[in-house]
Amino acid sequence: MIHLIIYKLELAGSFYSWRGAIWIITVASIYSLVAYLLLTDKELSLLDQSEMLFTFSQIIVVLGLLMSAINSSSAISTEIEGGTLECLLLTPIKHSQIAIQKMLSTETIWIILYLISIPYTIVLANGTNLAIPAILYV
Amino acid sequence: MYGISTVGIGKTYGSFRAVDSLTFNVKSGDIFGLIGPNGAGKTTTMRMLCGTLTPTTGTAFIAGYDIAKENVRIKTIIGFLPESTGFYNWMSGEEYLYYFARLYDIEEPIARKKVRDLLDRVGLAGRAFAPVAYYSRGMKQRLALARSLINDPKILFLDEPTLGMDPRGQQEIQKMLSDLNLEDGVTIFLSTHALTDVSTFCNRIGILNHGKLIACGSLNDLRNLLNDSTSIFVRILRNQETASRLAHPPFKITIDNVTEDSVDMIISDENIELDEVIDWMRKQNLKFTELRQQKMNLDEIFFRLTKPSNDKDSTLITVNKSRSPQVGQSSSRL
Repeated sequence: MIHLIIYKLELAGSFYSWRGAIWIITVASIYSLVAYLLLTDKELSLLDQSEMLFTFSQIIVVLGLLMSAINSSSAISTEIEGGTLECLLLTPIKHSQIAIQKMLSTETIWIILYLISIPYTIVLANGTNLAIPAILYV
Repeated sequence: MYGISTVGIGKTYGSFRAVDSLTFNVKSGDIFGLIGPNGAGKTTTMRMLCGTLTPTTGTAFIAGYDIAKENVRIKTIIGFLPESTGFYNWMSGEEYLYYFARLYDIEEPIARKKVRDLLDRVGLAGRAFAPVAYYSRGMKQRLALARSLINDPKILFLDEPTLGMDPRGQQEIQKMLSDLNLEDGVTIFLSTHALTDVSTFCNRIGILNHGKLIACGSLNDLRNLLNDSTSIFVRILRNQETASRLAHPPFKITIDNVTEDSVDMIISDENIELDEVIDWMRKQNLKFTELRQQKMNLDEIFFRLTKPSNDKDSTLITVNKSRSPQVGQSSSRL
């Protein structure tokens, strides 16, 4: 599968550049803040635990979508701005393959963000058996 | 067989015609130089031939393959060095080339070897593992050239290949390209503003102006197009009698330069022979230190052919007139 090389490059590029690292740090910070507020804030901590988990799951989904939209568009725009797209288009790889591989790398980062959210979900579901349903819901 | 063959290929952007119906052929194994002023359409032509830009009109054939129908196959047999290439700055030069080698589906061990060879060939072996971000302009150009050679192309498109390189680097790259052409039979399609390089390196030249191919052929063909007759350059020693001895020459003489010790002149009569000039100088007791035949160079041809249409007298002619008045008009200079 020669086309996986673009996927690998994109993924490596995400972690060598600001994109992937910043997303992971930002999302982990947001998860921490939201989980902390849900557990310690006077009003938020009064929420039913299932409702608390549902709110947290919604935040995970929204952040994932936001990251995907921004990362997908920047994956192509940075190639155009950096002048690297022309070289990529000169190779005998179909344009659709380039787009698919780039999209897959974005989805991979989404999965990483999702994996980061699992410990937070487990902590929020502490004392109940809602952790696995909440993880599966996301 | 033609390496490149275009049939009325053109590109328009709205009402602006960037390239206007170009038809020309480049034989396999030729080195073709495409020259022209900025904005003439050189890069657009190259991009259309390489398949990164779709032509508005006409088509072209690369090694017999139609660019409209067999784009993917063409990309496997060509290499293209764009004028400004982008890099993944976080990669090393070695990683960058390896990445492209894999995109061309070259097996890993072969790709590794090829990358090492190419880095060595373009003089970057010592910096192979340094991030591209730390490369100089010339080093990046070398790396881009190596990338364009990664798939062992049969036809190589080069847009300003020696841009940003030092003179030694330019010489090395020219030698490398020359070897590629002679040893591997690679057809080279070159676009550059370095006209001296084009006249020495290319066996055929195309001149593009306002999107139109205004001349195409060998350097001699272009000279013939302008009815250029061979002229003779003579440097004679200057003394008090020089002016009077040059007063009524049997040829059309143009004084090119006058110093304290010498007078440079150009004899530009048609069908003039060196022997006739030597005989005349002996009769006039003129002592010469230099005598050679000279032909119109590519710079002059380029300026003449690409002069603005509202300029009745070309820039070149204006320069010549100011520098080289006729003998009769300049006796005071002698």
